[in-house]
Amino acid sequence: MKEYVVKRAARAVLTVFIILTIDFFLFRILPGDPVRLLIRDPRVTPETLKVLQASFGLDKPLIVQYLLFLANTLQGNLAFSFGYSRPVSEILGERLLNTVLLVGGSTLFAILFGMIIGAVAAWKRGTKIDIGSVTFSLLMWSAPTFWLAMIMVIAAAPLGLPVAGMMTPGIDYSNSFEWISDVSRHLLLPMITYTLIMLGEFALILRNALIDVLTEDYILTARAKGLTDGQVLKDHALGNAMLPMITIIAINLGIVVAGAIQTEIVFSWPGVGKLIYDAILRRDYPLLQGAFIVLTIAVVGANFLADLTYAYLDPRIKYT
Amino acid sequence: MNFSRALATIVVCLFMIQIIAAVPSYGQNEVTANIGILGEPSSFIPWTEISTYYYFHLYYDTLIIYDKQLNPIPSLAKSWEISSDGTTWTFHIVDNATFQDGEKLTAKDVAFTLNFIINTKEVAKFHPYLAMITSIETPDDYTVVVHTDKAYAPSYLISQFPTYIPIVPEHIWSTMSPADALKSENKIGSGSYKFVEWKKGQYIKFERNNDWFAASRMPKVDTLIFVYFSNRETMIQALISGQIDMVTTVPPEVVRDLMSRNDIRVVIQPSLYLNEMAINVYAEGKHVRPALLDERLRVALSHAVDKQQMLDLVHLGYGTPGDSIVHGPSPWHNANLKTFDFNLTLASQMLDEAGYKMGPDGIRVAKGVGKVVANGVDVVVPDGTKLDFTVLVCTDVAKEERSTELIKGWWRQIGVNLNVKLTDGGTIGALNYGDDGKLFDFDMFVWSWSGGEVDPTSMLYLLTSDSISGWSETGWHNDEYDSLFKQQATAATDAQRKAMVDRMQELGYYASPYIVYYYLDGISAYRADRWQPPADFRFGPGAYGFNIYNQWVIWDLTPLSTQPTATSATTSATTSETAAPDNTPWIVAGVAILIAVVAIAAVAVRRKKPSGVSVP
Repeated sequence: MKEYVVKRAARAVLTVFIILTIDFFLFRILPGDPVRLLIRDPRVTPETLKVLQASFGLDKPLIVQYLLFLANTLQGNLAFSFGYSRPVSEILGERLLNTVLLVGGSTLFAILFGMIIGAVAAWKRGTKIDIGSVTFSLLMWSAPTFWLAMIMVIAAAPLGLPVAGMMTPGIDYSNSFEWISDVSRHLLLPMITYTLIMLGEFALILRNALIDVLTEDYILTARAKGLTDGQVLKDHALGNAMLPMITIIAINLGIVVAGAIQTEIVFSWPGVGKLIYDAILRRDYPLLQGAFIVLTIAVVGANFLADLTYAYLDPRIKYT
Repeated sequence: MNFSRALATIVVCLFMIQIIAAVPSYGQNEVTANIGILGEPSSFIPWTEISTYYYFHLYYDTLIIYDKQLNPIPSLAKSWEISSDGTTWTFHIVDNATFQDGEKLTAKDVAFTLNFIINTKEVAKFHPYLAMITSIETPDDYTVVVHTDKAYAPSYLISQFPTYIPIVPEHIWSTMSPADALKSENKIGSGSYKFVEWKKGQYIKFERNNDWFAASRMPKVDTLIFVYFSNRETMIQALISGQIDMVTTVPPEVVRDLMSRNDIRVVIQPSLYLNEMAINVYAEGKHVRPALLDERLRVALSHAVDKQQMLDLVHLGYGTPGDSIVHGPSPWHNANLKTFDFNLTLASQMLDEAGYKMGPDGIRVAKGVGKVVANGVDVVVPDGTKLDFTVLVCTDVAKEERSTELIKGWWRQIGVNLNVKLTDGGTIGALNYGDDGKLFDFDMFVWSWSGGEVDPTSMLYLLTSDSISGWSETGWHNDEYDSLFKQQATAATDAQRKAMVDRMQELGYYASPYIVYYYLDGISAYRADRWQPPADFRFGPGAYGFNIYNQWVIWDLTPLSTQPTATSATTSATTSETAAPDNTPWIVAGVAILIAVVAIAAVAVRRKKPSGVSVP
């Protein structure tokens, strides 16, 4: 077991390193000069542009920039953003919490409701409930996010529900309860949207896994013992159908930190998704690198945890 | 046990609904304006930031400002004189201006600000506005004397540092090292509003500075909140639902809808914003497009563009068809240009005469065109050169993909093929400016210039030979144009300057290195149930929102039913949220009932006996 964990951990660290290296060069392959994109004034002279490029460290050879980047990253130093003139860690920090609130919360709800729908559909397979659940899941899974979000905005605007932002602008809260209340109101629409978009995947995968399990002999045995529907489902079927679920749950929890760009843009939610998008357009290399470091570590970390959970859940998986 | 669990569920749900249903409200005694803005500034460093430039004019002052009709009027400088040789400008500073921390604003602060910028090479964006200054003196606390290297046209000089540079407090900035100053977001100014708070990604809040020296211009709004949206459509919905009071960038598609509402007023004004197609006519580089160097071809192409139709289809007619590179609504625009009319027959004829023969596939091929003179260089258009071009449309103006597709159709009819490709601004810049060693490596591209200023210098500069290593988009240059560009800045009178600027626009337009699509209108919308109609402005906020010419939009913003000086009156503009029809209680009741039903059903299902075994 110990050897397995160490091996997996080593592999995760190597993966992170390789991805970071690819990221570094990938962003720089994009044509375009960050300085020009920052200052678009015909009267700024080429000499001044060079001074600014040098102040960003862009005058150094690429390999030197890369080594500096590695050295800084290993020291936990995420550098300064070109566009925001502030430390990348500070900018990401502000946004990460907002994104985790929206995307993380929605993902948990989506897992919960998706699993309920999937389990019910599998249990009632072949009935109208099953067909209804599958149709609903497929519809939600394939609905374009921005479209569903816009429908939500147009439907909710006349009701007086806030359609944009994270809190009422400029309000001084008299206590933290007011703050929670205000943020919850603003969270409602984007969270419903993102939950709906996500739950189809969970529902369909769990339904398929469960249907396989429900035809096993041990389910028949369980029923023969006189267990209730709930007990059969909970104690005998679900556990065995969980393996494929663990994988997609891990992947989805990993990308929570990447934000949900379409939902964030439609609802003007101050999250990481929009930040990354703008950083690409501006060629803000330090910010992009910082965001991708966080994203990479989260995804690889979540997969690492999934590997461990797998081994724990299924004793047949060998510790190699 | 099941019952108690269901009860607990219901209680938790009701609690959550309670949380969500509580509507917050603003303080009762002030006038608040929520202004919807697209895109957020990246920082508030006055020296290097451009996206926040508009806000600087709220919390800082400049020496001179433009009034609503663009005439320069006194601000921090209550008056100014020019020496008889035109190289010495004396500004008399008001004696009642104070910074928001209570310190007096004097001539020393003005001199400090100008000197700081001149001496700090990283403050790139401001340098052009002070490049003419040779020295600055402050004979007393309320006089600033500025010496310039040459005598400049007054209109030009006023458009530079006096109206452009925000004056910062010396007592704060002089204590910082230059490196620290370049990273500082200190926001103490002397302006009409005080900076209160910036919630990143959400909003920026300002409060009126009741000690502002310009009492006659004192704004009527106590609290000003700029709310950031990342999506135009959502922003319009927020205006309709009353969450915000004003939007400065309304898409043309929703104008008619908004106009039909009596609680919203739409304002359409000219703005400093143009969309253009730049054509690569750089003759001296490595990536020469010989056919495009032929002026006759470019003129023929210009005749095959129906700008009015493009404007009508893509922007529903909100704008003016373009010609010169100087923004149409600018007083410096040459209104007497003989524009190329839309005439496909004439365009075909011109191409025939120039030696571009129709090929078997309907695309013309050069045959015997011979030498063309471009930028004073002889270039031969080789026989067999196909009139097949690619235009890169910048994603910032993605709508222009549609208008450019129209051009493609017209050009096809005269035997020219055009491939339209949507490309991001960074990539276009790299192919144009040669930062990756690819100077002028494109056929054509389409993007926009949103006006930083009314003065034409920036736009005219784009066609000078000086700009080729800098910002030139076409590579076009002309000796007469170059010398006029140098002379116009130092013309003795504005009339002489206007004549030169007009001539430059003729040279640039008739040679057709650009096809300027149109000058777009700025469309803004207010809540008519809360605000009085705005006064007449020469320029409205443009397609990118505010610029320095429309601070008056903020200063003039007047709520309905309130005294101009009222700070304690309760007005209809105070609370935004409650103005929308408040259906919250009904929603709450509906959701509560729904949840109760679901909870009870869940309990009922739990109680059910095990069903019969029926595994297929």
